[in-house]
Amino acid sequence: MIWLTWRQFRTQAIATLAALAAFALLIVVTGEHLRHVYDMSDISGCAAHGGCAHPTVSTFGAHERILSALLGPALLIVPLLIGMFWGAPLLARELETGSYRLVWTQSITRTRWLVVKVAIVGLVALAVAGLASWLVSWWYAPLDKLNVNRFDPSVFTERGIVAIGYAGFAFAVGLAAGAILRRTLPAMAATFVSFIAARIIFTFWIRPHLLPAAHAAQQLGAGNAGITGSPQGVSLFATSPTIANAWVYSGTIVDNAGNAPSAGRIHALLDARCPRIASGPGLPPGSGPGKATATPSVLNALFSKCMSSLSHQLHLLVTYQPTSHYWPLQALETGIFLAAALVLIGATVWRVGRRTARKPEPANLASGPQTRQP
Amino acid sequence: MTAALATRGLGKRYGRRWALSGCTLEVPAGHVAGLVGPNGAGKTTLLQLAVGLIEPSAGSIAVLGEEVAATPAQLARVGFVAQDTPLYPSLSVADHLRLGAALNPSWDQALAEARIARLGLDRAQRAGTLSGGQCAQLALTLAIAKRPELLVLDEPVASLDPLARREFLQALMEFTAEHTVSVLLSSHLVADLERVCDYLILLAEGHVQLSGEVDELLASHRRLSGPRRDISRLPSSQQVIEETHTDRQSTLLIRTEEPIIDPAWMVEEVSLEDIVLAHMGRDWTHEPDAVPRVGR
Repeated sequence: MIWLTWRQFRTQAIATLAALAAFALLIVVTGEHLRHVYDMSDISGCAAHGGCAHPTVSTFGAHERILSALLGPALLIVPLLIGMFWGAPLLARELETGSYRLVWTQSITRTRWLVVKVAIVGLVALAVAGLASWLVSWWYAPLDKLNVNRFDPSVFTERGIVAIGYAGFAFAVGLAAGAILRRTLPAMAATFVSFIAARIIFTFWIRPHLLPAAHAAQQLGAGNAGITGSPQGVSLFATSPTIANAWVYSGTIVDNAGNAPSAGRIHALLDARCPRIASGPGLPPGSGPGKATATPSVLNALFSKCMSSLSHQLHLLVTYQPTSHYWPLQALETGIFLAAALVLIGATVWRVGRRTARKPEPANLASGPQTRQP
Repeated sequence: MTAALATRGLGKRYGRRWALSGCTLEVPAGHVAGLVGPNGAGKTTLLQLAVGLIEPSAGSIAVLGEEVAATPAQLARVGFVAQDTPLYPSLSVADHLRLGAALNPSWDQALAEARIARLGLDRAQRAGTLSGGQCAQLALTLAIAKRPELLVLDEPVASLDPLARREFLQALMEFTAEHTVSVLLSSHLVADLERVCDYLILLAEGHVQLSGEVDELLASHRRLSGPRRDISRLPSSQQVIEETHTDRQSTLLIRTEEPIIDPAWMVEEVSLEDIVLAHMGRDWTHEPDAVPRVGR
């Protein structure tokens, strides 16, 4: 059975190995160059001190910029390809061409046949995804040290170990789709749609709730708050706060009791603490600090003074995932996708082994309605 | 001796359609049994039930006295050549033999090699490029080199040209002559079966219409022709299968175990094909043992 699995899988396996080797070569050559540029430039120094003003990929050469835009998405495609080209045809092609009738009537139960095939192809799929993800993560490492938020969805999913979970899941989705649809092309299409849907759902509705978020209080300042005027009066708003390498969910202005103050209370506080701003000379409706008839420097000083005088009454409550949650989140996401894959595989093996609910052979359907011979 | 195939009230339903229902049958071991019936009669369903590709929706089935396809050992006792003889197109002839050797503990490599050599098949040729006749022969080789006790073949010659058909059946007969094996072979053409079978099962509209040894069937069926008469006045031992009447003459195909003594009849022997066609044309719904069919 191992021989048969290998014999049926070897063309794809060799092609994948060749592609992976070419990919590794590209990664290693350009990755070494990237590291060289990184070490030679002054970026490495400022990154170590956290003092890079606007360090971006543009500091590097043109081909690094192109690669940095392509490698991550390429890694995202790997699980999809595994699901569509390894998972979906594994059962669907046998059912479609009828060769299952040959192999399921040899002296081996179909459960064992399927388990061996799934185990071999599935483990190769996990290894390929893991290797590709490791190469990509290594390539990006210097860039990630700069300004990249590692929790950003497009970064989080393109680094670390989650690709292994995605690959296992995509493979299982393909396998199950093939067992249900019994046709290769529809199974591939269903795998494509289901996998992307599952990834979107997970990214937006599940990942944020995997681990309890941390909370931190920040003093109000230019980085996280602003003042806006309206016909009803001047009010205070929170802007998205930044915490280095953390995943910030929200920032809310709260009072010392932890409650969000009412608009009237804020207005009263501004009146009391920042009379010059509250009376709004030269602050047209909708403008923030620094856009006024007064000079920007004067307004900025005014704003800073106002914020520090408010700090005894108000602060910003930030809800976020700290950087220490990065690997636990990676492990959880990988584990959940792999567990879902195991459930799908188990259900498919059970369904195939049960031997019921098989549709008639295409040959029988083609013979048309039952007719009696004369 | 254990029956090669024994079924009791066997039925298989696809959705709301019964492909096979109320099938009660016993095929003794040691026969080359032909399963005949029109397209859509349930032949493929019955054979796939017998090799365990599908599970029954009703009733029970035992093959060689055992539950079907429950264990590798049971699977090893039954060889199967499926309809249209599926193979792996990208695998070579040698790969297929290796597949057989890898998946069957009882594999007879010498037998397989000898057959491939005699057929003149190129071992390196991919199965996808073989002719229909060669595919069928390779599939048969896989099934018999497994050294099964029961060989099941589903319309193996249906898509073959007359020469390939003859060669295939020849190969099958040689194998059955040399080895003790029971064979269950389906076809919608009686002529194919007449040459190789000594047992016949007629399936139509999902029911078994007729089953028995070919010799007995031939011995018990007669065509009578004579002056027109009412068939209700025939002896009760004579079962009318088919009747045609003109103004003056009646022609009957009857089944009887007793000699026909009425001198008014001209008695003729009938061919297996005539018997089969007569039974197929019979309105089975009035049979006492017929199970009502669930509508399509």
